[in-house]
Amino acid sequence: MEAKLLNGQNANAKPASEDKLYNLSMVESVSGGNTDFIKKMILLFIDAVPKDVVMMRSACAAKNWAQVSKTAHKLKSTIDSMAIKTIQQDIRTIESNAKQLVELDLIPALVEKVENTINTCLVQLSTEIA
Amino acid sequence: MKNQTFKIYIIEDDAWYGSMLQHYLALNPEYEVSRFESPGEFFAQLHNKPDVVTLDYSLPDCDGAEVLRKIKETNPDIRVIIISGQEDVATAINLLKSGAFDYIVKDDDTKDRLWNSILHLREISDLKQEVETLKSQVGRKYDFSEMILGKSDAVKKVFALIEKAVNTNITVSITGETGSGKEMVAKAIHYNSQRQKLPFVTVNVAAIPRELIESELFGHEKGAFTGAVTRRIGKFEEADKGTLFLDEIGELDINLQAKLLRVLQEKEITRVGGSGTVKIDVRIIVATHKNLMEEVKNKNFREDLYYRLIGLPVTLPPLRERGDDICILAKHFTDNFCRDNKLGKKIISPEAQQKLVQYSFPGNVRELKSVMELAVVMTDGDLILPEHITFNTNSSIADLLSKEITLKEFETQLIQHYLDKYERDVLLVAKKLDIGKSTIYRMVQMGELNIR
Repeated sequence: MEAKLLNGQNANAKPASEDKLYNLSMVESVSGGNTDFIKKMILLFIDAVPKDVVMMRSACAAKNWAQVSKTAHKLKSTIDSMAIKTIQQDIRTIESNAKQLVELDLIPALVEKVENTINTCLVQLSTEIA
Repeated sequence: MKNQTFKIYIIEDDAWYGSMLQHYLALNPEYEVSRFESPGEFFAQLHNKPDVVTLDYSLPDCDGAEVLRKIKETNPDIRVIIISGQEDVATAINLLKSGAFDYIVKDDDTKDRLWNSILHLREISDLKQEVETLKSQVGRKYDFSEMILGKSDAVKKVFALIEKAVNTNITVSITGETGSGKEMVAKAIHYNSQRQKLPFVTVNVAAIPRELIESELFGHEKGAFTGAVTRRIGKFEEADKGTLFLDEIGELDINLQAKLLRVLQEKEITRVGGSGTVKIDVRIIVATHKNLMEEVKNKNFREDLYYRLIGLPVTLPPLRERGDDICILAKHFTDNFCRDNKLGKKIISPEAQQKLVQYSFPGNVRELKSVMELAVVMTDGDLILPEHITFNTNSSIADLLSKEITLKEFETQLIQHYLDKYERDVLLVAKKLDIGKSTIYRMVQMGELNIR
């Protein structure tokens, strides 16, 4: 019964909205209704975040854990603000493990997951401003 | 203050997060928000004196605590709000101890907490600004050439001495009759000295019971005596770094004089019932209407304390010796009273002025003020006439001396004063003044004296 209802709702909603890995509500609340600002923040995300992700991946490959932790720390606030829920815990684990040098073997997979998720976000975000 | 732009500088290396904060804070049109991605860029602009800085604790290649320290070192008035991705309590406490205004963790509520923190900070800044304004107003209020009015030589001499007193911490001893403005001079010295922003504490020695004055001056420890339920600091400690004005110092109990002398010499006090000493840095101004040298001769005042306190002596002239100042002050008090009570301007007639300058004013400036206020109340029109001027004191010898009159007039007034005093008892007055009763009767017959 419940599943049927949910399905019903899904059918009425826009598919793109349902699949979004992020949530712009915080950016929207900060914008004060200024759509140009929302657009600017999306462009800024598309421009800045991939650079940090690449940096974190390279540092991880080079086992430069201090750099991994620092970059993860920086990405954390953006990921939180964009409410990219699927990787909010992962980015924290990366930061913390790399800083304390524990369970380092978990990090590469988590970095890869973060990168993939961000890439999906980038694609979804480009459609928002298209 | 509220209409001025409030400058906020954001130090945040994360362009995305920093832009968001910048945009959010700039929603308040009173805020001028700038963002810097590195401490280097920020410090290059610090001379523009931001009101508040939000500082990302985890900057690359830089420690937030170090940036905070540098800001505080350059300008301790700049408020710093730390925004950090770290949820480490110890770090937060250390930063707050180092002078950070607030510590906000980066999470969903950051923007709202930052917004509130800045509102709170502005409230504090506004209050601080208000206090500064009020303080400067208090300073202006005691601009001594405005407060101690007069152009007589006697007053000019006082001004010259006040000028000397404000530039140093020398002890000042003010003598003058009651109502001549001793406390006003003390305040003029304090509020024009380098101690003007620090406390000015007055103790009227004559007004405090002998048994309480010691604890009033030096404070007491808990349980020092019955009723001392808590520790209390005394006036000396209250006035620390400021000025302590000891009015009616001539009334200080002889036993306490020794203790006061020791405090002045050692620059430290011991609270009643206490054993330790407390260092104090207090400028002392004393005042008395008594002739302290006389008191020393009469063994009522310690000679050593006298020499310690005499410092720069300022003698305030009695009002009756200030000539035209009486009219200047009378006009000042009349204008003030009319303004405060929303009355039209009133003029003091030349005859009323004459009556004023002929009076002896035993109560000095304080008395003149009440006389003029009463005169304004008694006047119906806008002209103050002699009949509106009422002196409450009986005419005294000093009053007689103040008038320039002939010996004959003086004699008449003197006898009339005695007749009034002794209920027209001619025989008694003749005896008191060692004159013949017939002299009095003759003067009565001539209409010079009144015994009805």
